[in-house]
Amino acid sequence: MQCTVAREQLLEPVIQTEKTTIKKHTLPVLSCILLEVTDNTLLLSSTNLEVGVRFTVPVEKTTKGMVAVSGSVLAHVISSLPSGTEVVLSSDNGHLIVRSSEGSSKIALHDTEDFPVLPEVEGGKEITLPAKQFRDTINAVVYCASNSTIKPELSSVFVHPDGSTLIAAATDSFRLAEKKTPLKHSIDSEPFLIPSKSTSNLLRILEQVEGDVQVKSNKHQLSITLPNIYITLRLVSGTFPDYTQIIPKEFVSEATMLVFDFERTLRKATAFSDQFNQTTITISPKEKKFIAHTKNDSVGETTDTLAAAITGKDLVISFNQKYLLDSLHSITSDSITIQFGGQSQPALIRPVGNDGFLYLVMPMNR
Amino acid sequence: MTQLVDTKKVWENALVDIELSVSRANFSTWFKGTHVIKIEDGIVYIGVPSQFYKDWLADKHHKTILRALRGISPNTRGVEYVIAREEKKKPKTERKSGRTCMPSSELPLAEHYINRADNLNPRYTFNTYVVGPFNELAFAASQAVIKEPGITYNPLFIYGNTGCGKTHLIQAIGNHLKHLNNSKKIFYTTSERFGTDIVSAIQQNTIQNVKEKYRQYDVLIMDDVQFLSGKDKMQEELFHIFNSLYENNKQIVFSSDRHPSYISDLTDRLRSRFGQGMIIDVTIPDHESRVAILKTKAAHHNFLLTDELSQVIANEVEGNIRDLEGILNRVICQTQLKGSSLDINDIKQIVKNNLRPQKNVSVKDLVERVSRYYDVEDTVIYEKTRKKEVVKPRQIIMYLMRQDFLISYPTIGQKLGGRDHTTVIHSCEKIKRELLDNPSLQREVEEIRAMLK
Repeated sequence: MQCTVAREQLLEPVIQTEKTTIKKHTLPVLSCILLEVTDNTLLLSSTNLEVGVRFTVPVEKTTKGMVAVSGSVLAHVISSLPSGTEVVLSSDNGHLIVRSSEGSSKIALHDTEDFPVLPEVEGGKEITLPAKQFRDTINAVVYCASNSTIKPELSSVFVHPDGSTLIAAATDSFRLAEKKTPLKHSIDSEPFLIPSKSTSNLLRILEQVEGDVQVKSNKHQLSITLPNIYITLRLVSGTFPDYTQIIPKEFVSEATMLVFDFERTLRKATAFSDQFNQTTITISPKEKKFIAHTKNDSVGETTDTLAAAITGKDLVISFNQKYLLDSLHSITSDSITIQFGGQSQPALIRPVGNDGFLYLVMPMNR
Repeated sequence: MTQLVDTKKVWENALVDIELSVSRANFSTWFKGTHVIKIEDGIVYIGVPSQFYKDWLADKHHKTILRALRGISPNTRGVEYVIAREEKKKPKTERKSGRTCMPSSELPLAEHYINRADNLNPRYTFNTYVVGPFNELAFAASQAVIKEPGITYNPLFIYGNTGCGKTHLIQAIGNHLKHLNNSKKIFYTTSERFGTDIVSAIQQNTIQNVKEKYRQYDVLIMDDVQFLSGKDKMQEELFHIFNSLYENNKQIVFSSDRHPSYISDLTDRLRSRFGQGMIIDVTIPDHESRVAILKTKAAHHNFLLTDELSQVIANEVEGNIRDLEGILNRVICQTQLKGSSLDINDIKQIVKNNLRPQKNVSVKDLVERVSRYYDVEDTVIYEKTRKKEVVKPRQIIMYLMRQDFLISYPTIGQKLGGRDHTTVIHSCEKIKRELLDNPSLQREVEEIRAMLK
């Protein structure tokens, strides 16, 4: 195998494919990138058996062949080369030789025999989604997905292109985020569940794209084909809970404040948080006060009074401040409204003037 | 069941062979997560975790697998790979411990795990369905339906009082069929939701879409059809949908709280169609079934219910499974609060506090309702007439007063126009005797009782 390629052409695909490699002692070849040279193209593939990616790079002076080399080593080598150089990749006797104007490296080869085939989506439907909106929508909710593996449907992101709206939601049953993004064209599709672990790979690929992507999916697998990238990932089969029914409609109190103020307060509170990250919020509409109090017996305590517009009843309620803080990352507007349903009822956080995002968080048990 | 065990054995033995012929790394990567789903007509269906596995096994190991399977059962013709998660026993304990260290309460998501495509609640399965004399016929019929949907009993009409497990049974049919064949389009709805569909379709002028929607299903399950009573447009639409599904041999399952003949304001063409397949009733569970149900429900909650306590609860709570469940929840909750198990008196107290007290019905009320039911003037009940059409309602009134309201014989006689207590005793005994072998009388008494509630 042999080919010649500009370092800049090669760098991004190598870094990207390296991210999908995995160290698995039962199948060591999964830590490798598979390099395959055909007529004037170099294919780089890697997979962790959840996600598979394949990049196509135009190359010159080719000799056909296929090798597998350690992804981390190759990424290291290519990224350390000076920019603007031309790289010659060639294989000989159990090694891949990476040659540039500066010198050459020899990387040990792995057996390509065991390298898995990247699956294609059999049957299924194809929809067109704008890459940026698709990425932003997932990004706005993915941190809410559960880390536990007990309920796979909760450790995944629910994606539902519903008419002219793209809906994404995730929950770990303590908080829930939903993002609705309007689309230019109407798309109707069955909802699908992307494992939250695979979303980082997907988002990274989507970052590379401007314009639209073709998303093909069946019940078990999703794939996106771009001119030079192919990504496929396993979907979670199962049903996402019908969360729309638990979004409360009635509230006892409501507070509107600047995101900046609230975020600063919560950031400070994290220094004083106890093992449960408890922050107690006291609202009194009569005195027009919104007070956040955090206390840790071994560290100390902190109290902040925020400027807020408050209506409704007096309320003292505790939250995990990390959960509150998480919600603020996905909010683009200046201020938010927090609606409280009362003791042991979920609170609803929404950006003011933008209905696309909502965040539901449960208070702590007293 | 034994067949399932055999199928499992076949794959386990095959795996032993395969382990010898592929490398260890290969084996533990590609074969560890597999399981056998079923063996049908010599084709072995292997469940694999994802498309990666499916492609890899089909590409690289197909021959090895086939050889190993042929070695064990020679009539194996082929292997199919199906993406399916193996059903594991849920690690309940792990979840519990996880919850205690989480100080935040959880969002009430659990109740909303209903699949929107088919509306089925996965909670309702045959595994949790207790079969007893009260429902064995209905259970057998539902099994027949599962075996040959659309052919054996179509439609299947299940009726019975509230809280007898109708919804559980019909949803379990849906869930089981879905499990057997994932490509089947199954839809569960209540007649009320069906009604909303129709009404909003009429408003938006999209009735054609609703028709299309319902006609595409392979299995249509409709709960509580008694609510269609008096709603002509809905009945008409259901009639057309029914015909189109029926002609295409699609299974239809209905449930109702009464026999179709007793659903008032139902057009005859629909009534006769309900009766076309199989009409089966589920009655109130008997004592043994109640005990079994209690045990199943308790096990579901990971709660150890002693034999003695379950007997006591089953004795105290008669009828409705929902009441039984309510009491059980109460018992579990109290036990957790107290930290020790409850004794019989505690249980009796709980039952007393929680079951709704019998509503007070005056004698006048009773007489009025029964006479209305039999279409006689209520005043004639008190008179000394011995006309046949009056005697029967009068006797039923006496029987009910004695049985349900525990009024003494002389008082009953006195209240009903100064009759002798021996007359009353005779009437009660007569009705009691007749009830044993006259189903239509049974039904009448049941309906009157339902009216009194």
